[in-house]
Amino acid sequence: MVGVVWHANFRFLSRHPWQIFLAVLGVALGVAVVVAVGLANTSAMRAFRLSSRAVSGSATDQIIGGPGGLRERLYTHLRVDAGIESIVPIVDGYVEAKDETLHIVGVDPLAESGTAGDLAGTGAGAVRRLLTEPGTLLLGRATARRMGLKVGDSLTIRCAGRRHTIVLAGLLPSAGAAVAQDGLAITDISTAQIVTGQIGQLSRIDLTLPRGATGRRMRARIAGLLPAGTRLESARARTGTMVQMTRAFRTNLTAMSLLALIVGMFLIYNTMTFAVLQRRQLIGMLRAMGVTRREVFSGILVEALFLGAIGTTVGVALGVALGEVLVHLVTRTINDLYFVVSVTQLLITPAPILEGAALGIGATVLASLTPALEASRSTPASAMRHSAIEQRAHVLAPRLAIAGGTLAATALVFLALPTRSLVLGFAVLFMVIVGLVLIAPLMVAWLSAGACAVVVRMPGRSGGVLARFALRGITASLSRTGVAIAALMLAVATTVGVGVMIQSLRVTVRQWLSSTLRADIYVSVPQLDPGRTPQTIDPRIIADIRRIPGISGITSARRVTIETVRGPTQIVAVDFAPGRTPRFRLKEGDARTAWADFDADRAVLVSEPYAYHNRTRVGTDLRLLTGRGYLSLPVAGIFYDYGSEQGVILMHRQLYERDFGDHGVSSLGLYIRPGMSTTRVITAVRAAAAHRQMLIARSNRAIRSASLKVFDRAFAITGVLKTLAVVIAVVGILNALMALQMERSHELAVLRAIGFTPGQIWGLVTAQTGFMGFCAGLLALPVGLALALLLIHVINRRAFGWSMETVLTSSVLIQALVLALAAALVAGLYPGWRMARANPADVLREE
Amino acid sequence: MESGQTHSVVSLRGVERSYREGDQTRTVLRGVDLDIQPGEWVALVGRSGCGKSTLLNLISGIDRPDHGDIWLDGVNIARLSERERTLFRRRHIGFVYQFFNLIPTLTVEENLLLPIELNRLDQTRARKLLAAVGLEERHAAFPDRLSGGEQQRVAIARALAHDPLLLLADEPTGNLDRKTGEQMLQLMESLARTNRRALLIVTHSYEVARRTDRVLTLENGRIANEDTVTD
Repeated sequence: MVGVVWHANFRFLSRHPWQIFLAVLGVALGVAVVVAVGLANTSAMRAFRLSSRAVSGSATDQIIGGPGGLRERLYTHLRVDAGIESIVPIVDGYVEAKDETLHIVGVDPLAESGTAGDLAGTGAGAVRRLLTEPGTLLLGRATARRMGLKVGDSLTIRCAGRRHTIVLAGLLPSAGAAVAQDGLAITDISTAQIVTGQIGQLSRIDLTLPRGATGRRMRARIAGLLPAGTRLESARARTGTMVQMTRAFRTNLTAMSLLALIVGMFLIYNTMTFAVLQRRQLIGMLRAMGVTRREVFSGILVEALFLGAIGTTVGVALGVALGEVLVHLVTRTINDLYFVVSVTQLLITPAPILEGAALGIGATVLASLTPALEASRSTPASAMRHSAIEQRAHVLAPRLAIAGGTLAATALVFLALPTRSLVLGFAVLFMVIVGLVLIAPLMVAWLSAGACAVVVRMPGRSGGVLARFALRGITASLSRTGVAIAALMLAVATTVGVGVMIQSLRVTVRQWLSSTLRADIYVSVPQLDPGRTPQTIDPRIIADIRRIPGISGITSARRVTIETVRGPTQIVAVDFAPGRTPRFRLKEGDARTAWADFDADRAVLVSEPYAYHNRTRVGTDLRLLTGRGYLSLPVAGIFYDYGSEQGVILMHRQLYERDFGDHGVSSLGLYIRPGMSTTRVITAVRAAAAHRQMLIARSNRAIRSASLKVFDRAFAITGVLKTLAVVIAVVGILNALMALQMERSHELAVLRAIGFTPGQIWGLVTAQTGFMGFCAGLLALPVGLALALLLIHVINRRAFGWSMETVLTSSVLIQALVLALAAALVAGLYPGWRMARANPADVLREE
Repeated sequence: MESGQTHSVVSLRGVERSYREGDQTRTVLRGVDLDIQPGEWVALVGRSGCGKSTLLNLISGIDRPDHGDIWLDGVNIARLSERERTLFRRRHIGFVYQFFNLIPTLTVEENLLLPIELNRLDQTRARKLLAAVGLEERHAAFPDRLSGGEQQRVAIARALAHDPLLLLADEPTGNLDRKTGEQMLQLMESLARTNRRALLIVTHSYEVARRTDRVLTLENGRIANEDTVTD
């Protein structure tokens, strides 16, 4: 295209700065959300991998044991008796100090370098103090600075409800990634054993084995030396398994961010369509003068790329800022639900930024293709007519609706495929969304025509013609109003879908909590890492609690995390209080026989997520590695459980103690006699534990409320993403309305000349935007419900293995309508004000 | 109301209007004096850009003069607020434009209903006026389905729908062929002149000017010449 034509096009853009601003903002917000979620996810996972690597160094393999870890003498046996040198004993756990959670790792500084014990670079004095002075530790520089500690300072740490005073002996060498050392505390083995309550035990043994045949031979030899209940595993695979645990959570966040980008795409489409419509005369004249279709097409696309590039650049910057906020929400949820990871800063890695940039530019080009094609295909004469484009929009609407219907129907066929793929689940979700969005313009045309027909038949004269004017304006500019309404509809439908899903899950969790939490008081040990086996309650305290008057029965439980080939699996070993029948609701299996087999140690029960992820049915034999070798037991029932997405195996404590050799109790459920004060018993429990171990004693009500608080926190990030999608949609509606009102400025000036007051013009614009909001809200209801059903029955099922009832309340639906109306009305404020303020003389003079 | 203004429907005294164009101020009207009597038809001629349309906008209250008074039916609209001017215009002024300015998303009848509803008049007037302009059967058609002549007939009917005191026409035949233009003028005469409605018409056409009572020439921002049409 020749230079003058470029000038004509770019000058057009420069004369519509608000339009450019809104388009850039739309792209920027969409890209920002994608980049922010990507960076937050990557930061959390990278921090986890780096800290894992900092702890295990260059270890290739790990020896792991049962719930209690490994016996210390295994290490001596392997190193001294078997002569295996490249091994390092590790004791680790999480402690609390000065409001920080520290990952305490006990190492042997004299062990082979290259592993966790490699303290090369640390001052000789510090290492000597670590070796010779009990109760000393090393911290990373950043962590020590954050906690206000200098070498030689002492600090109080808490672990498993016990307090210990420990001295900072030195700082870790600053070489390597600071993030890897963040929250890491190195001690010698015995200090770690005392602090974490693992006397005589090791958490694991790290090994650095050579590659190739030698390594394979050594692995085979070591495996042969291991006692029952211990296993040799690849270090990388183990870290991978932990990261994999959060995959569903991270995939959900990515999907939400993509939804925001799709809403942003509507905005770009709207802007580019408007840019073409506004320039129909210019394009017509250029075509009449001999500018080819290809030149017109490429001109529009280059413009779109230009806008996309600016929007993407701004979006990446915004994304980094937003990522700082999201990373804390992501980390908090991972810490609440999966494992401890400390992320104090956002790691800016190229992958999420490049993904966001590619999506931003790609979405811009994709959204601009149709307007560019529209512009290039029009004949010189038709390009000058606005009606030609609108006519095409009206012809296109039914075709789009058919295509959308077909797409949605095809998506539903995919659901019938025998697969549990989460990615396919999201693909179906997106296909259904796009399909339903394509139906929106036709529905808008129908709704406007229907409303118009009602207005025509309405008795009285007040506002009749005005209402028709407002309604027909929406249909007359369907190419833009349809798209703007579809964008708002999608954003509101997302809030409906996600809202119904969260509400359904919340109601289900609440019901589940009230049916499973039957005791009046729950006593447990404070636990910092949800992914690890909790510490046990001091048996002397349990004995004292049993003597507290007013307690009618005690249920004791041991929750342990054992390593299986499929990753960490939780076992809950329960001894129910006599006469208190368990109230677990069974999804599969006969309750009477299942609990009878459970009590007789003949079977275990598994939670629904466990059964889903491990394809377990009633009757399936489970093989569990215990201290006595493999234990094989049938599954007698599958119960509903929302406490762990990895799943839980429920067995009788008697059976667990026998086979795992672990007699610890990690929580108690106390039943109190009628008329007895819960508060008084809680006080007595605290008195029994005082000065021995810090325990958490909570009433039934308090524990339910705390559980729901964790639930709500887990969905806080979803709320942020949902809000952003609505903000983008409001920008889209604002853009469409500005365009619409600008196009109609002449008509509005005529109305002013006839005698319409500025207030009436504002009312007219408001009525129009209000109806657009109403259409978006109304259409969002069925789309949102479809979204909710897919989220509940496909996405949640495939991601977490949970099944739940769909809980639909009128409040969610009313909120959706109000949100759509409010969003549209807010977006209509400025265009309405602008049009009401416009001087009709200026507009009419331009004629 | 001041004495001396009671006989004129329109009375302008020393009306001035300027516009800012970049750093410069362009004065369009420099003290216009004008009187139009009830039922009188006045043509306003002048070169393009001399301020004819500006004068129409000032008389209708769409625009406001920098200086001077504009009396309409005894009310000085130059002193009224924006809202008061709008309400005055709504009740007393009818507009006919060169490019018809019908609302494309409203039917022919609905276009007529706009001033009728605004003034809370009997809605059956719309059909009567459509019958008078010969378009009763096209009442449900949208403007883009009508010819130029038909659209202007609708525009004239809309301008007269609320029985205004003063009809302002800005080159109403400028976009029509000669024969159709002639028909429009006849229509305006039959609907407005017979009801003694005053008309101020901006035109470049001698044929049009010939049908009025007086022809005013606007030049250098003032009424430079005034001719009485005598046939």
